[in-house]
Amino acid sequence: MKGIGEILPVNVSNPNGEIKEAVNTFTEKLGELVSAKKVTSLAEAVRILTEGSPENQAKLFKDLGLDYGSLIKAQVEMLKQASEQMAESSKEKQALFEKLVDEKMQNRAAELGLTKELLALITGIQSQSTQQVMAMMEKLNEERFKRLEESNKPKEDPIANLLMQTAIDILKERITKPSDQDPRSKFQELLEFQKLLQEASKAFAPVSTNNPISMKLEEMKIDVEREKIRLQHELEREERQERLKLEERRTERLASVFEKIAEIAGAVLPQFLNRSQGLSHSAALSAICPNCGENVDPSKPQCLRCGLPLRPPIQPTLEQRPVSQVGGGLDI
Amino acid sequence: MIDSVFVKKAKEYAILGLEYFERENSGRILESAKQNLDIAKEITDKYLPELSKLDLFTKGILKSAVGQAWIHPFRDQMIDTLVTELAGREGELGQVAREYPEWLRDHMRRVFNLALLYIAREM
Repeated sequence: MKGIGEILPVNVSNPNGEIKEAVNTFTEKLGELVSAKKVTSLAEAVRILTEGSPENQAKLFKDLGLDYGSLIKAQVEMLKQASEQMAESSKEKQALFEKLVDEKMQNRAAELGLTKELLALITGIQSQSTQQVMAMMEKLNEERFKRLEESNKPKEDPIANLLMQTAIDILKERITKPSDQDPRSKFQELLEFQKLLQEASKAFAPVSTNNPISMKLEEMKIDVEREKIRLQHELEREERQERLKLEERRTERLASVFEKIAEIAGAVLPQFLNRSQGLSHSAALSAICPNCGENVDPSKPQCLRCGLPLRPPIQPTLEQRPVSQVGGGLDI
Repeated sequence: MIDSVFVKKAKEYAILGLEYFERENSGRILESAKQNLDIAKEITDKYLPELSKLDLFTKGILKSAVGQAWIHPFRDQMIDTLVTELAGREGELGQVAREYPEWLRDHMRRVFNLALLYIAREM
């Protein structure tokens, strides 16, 4: 089986030719998987690699013919290589590189007696997105679980532990620092991160002052919970404002409808008030022939245009009838 | 007053209706006008039931306008304006408005009357 470090690309700030080649090879491999219909598309494969569940990732690695367990090691190897090359590169690049590494990381590196390679490793993580850092933490957790399960492996991997600590620091800074990020997506991210923290806590249990990672994880849990409550309040406030805006818009719409009605009423009211000058409204409607729409003379029994009978012939009143029809004259 | 919202809207709908009839029954208006045929009933039977498909709000406005207001005086003014406007147009409707304005005016008046009846009694 080919080692994953030989082909798997990693996120480095200055990819060189070898890495590019590795990326190409890896992409080709993924392409083969697409052709074999093991994944629907390249984008889907990348999504599994970056965001997929560990099971799906493991399956993908198996399909690629790679050893999933060695993923972290491979990443470390690649980053080491990249950082070595960066260290050997021009002074200008070196200066730029140094600038990228913040003071906190440098101090930590000095405390732990780290080399520049490891410092580069940390910088590599820092340049990754929060999602990527979280994905990496997840993989580190899994790696640690495996180590705990497999007796032939050393229980602790100093590089992995350092990466974990750095990842926690970076995420803590990003989560607690105010940002322009949409509160909803940040809240979602926090929920995901909280789940991840639970898993990580299991991997680094029990909590002890001797274990910096487990301590950090506990601190982190508190920070996350605090941030969650803050965001919840912010979201509630936003929702209230949105509701208010919605109500305002509804009121405005209603007002414009009433305005229109008033406009129409204003247009027809003068005519309405002048109705006494003509026929009454109901009389006007009854003076329309329902068959041809012609205006009919109410005194006529039928429509002059189409001949439709408009009303039954009017019977003369008692007083109007000739005496002979009333009952033969006075009936006394 | 003739430019009021009500008249403007009524004119808009009348033109839309006429254009639709022109499209759907190409040549029918011109032919009927030439032969002085009465197609008012045919038009109303075909299109007035469409008014019942309007939304409740518009129906309410129409019914309220027809039921409470004296709108007959608008009719003749509106029809005169419409015929003048149509006369400036190309096509069948324009030709009918130019060559047979009385026929068109008579049809419009009766269709308008039937529409009032329909709105007042059927909607």
